[in-house]
Amino acid sequence: MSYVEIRELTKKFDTTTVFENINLDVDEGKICVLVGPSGCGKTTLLRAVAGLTHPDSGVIRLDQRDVTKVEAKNRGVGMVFQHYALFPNMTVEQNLAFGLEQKKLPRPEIRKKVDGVIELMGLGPRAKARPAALSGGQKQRVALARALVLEPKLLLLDEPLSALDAQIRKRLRDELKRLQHDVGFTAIFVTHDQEEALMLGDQVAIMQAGRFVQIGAPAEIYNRPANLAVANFVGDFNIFDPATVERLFGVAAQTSSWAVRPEAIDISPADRKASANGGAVETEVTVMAVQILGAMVRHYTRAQDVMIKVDLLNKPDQRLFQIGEKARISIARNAIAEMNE
Amino acid sequence: MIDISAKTRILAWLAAMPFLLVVLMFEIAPLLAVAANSIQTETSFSLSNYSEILTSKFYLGSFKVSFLISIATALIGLGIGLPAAVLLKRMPGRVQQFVVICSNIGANFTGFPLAFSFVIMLGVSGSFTLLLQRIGLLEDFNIYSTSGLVIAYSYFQIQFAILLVLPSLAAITAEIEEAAHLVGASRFAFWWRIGLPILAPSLLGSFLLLFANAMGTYATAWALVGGSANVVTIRIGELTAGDVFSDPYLADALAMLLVVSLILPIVVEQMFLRTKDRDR
Repeated sequence: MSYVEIRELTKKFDTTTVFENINLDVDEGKICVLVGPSGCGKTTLLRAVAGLTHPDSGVIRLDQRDVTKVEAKNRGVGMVFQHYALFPNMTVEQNLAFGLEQKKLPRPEIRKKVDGVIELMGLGPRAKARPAALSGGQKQRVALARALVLEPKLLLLDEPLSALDAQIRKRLRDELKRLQHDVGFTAIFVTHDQEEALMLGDQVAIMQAGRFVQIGAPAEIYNRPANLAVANFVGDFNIFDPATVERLFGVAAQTSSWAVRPEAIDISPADRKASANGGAVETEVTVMAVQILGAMVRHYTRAQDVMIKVDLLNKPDQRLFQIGEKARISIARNAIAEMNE
Repeated sequence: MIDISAKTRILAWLAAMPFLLVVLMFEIAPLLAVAANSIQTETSFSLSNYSEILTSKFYLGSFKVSFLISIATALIGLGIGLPAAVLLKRMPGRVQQFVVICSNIGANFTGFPLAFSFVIMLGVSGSFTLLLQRIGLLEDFNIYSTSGLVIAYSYFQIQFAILLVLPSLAAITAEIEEAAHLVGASRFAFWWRIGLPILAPSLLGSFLLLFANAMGTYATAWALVGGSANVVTIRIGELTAGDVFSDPYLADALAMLLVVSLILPIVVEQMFLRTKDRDR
């Protein structure tokens, strides 16, 4: 039995179905990331788990207790919102203490818990500040602390990093991962950012148009997308339809498309001998553009009329190709994910 | 660069000129004239107008009645207007729009039309008065009294309050309410600890506007109770237009004291808000 169980959950608004009969399991101490394009139903699902939206049918169980009809504040869930939702009239400390006060805990205990979480989140210097005086990153740290101080059974995070700039976002993401390691909370994290999903999730659930198209470990999602839609979403796959496969690589009798990651493709000068690697497929390309992406160098190449993205690691001794240069690409068979619609 | 910004600044001043001129001619100049006249008598300059008012039970009484009516109706306005606005915010946009339009009309439905409506509904032989008497809920009610004025003023004060409070409710987002609920706050705890403190500055501002609105009301009071209501505006009206007691200089002094009694709370409010801002 999983720690969080969602069974046959359905939610409709008027005539539109947000999701229908969906199932999800999350193990204790793990982060499950719900990822998908906006409007796919992920936030509504999160709100249903929180108790802020009532599903039309189905069951939500948390730690073996059916909470489907339990009021939000009695579910033992903590939530972090995209726009922080801090109480603007209270200082950081007061924001953190508010929930504990509602539980009627004795003063000294509240003090101890608030001090503990302030220390954990490194909020000491800002403890007496009001939210208006905090930066976005600090606000989100306070929001996270406010949820954690109540020691929730389940932490729900609704695109908590989306409103922050790239630098802070990266830092908070690392911090979240560290916190989860230290504190060991169970969380459902909603995002539309696939990189965030793969980095943070122990389990990634890809949602499209109100259903899960694939649920699995990040490596599985990344390397073996279940279908073309997932492949398109989780990254930069080169997708070749059966006709193109036959035209470029001479492999016939295909019924499924090929999806190949840019970094899984080898590129070498055109005059070099074909690789001895049996089974690999090859074709001639022309380099159209070269972009430095940081750790990677992306080559946009063209084979006949098909654009193919090829990534090389940006090592000091890496030979980069010039625009207009002829080259040969080869794709190992085990780098090809065959998939249908 | 500097030339351009100087040019724009001059243009901005020029564009604002007509407005500034209107303010100067129809607000500042009359106020200065009233101030100058208030320290005059038929024969000389003196502060005797002020001393007459401040030692007269009658005129001090008019301020007292005006204050009481204004404070009472401002509180009634907020007491009903705030919950109404909170509920209204949960309604669909079209309902909100409709009520805002109605409130706009209601807040400006003052003076003789309002007084007349109250006379037909709640006058001595008004339809509601008769109805309530018939079913035994009312024995004796006189709309032509101070409590009658409170009821009549409340009519526009409540609707004015809704218009004033509604925009400030935007500061209380659904997310904040949900966040409070999720950490275990009851509805009461949310409003007491979070909602009202967030709204406090704008509620204070709204209260002062409602207070000023009631203090300055003349036509409604005059139409409903005539000279028998001892409120400041009616006293001023009598002294400027009255046949028997005409004394425009004394009226000017009353008007100046009315202005002071409106400005003082606003200055205090601004100081209060400034210290609050510094605390942040």
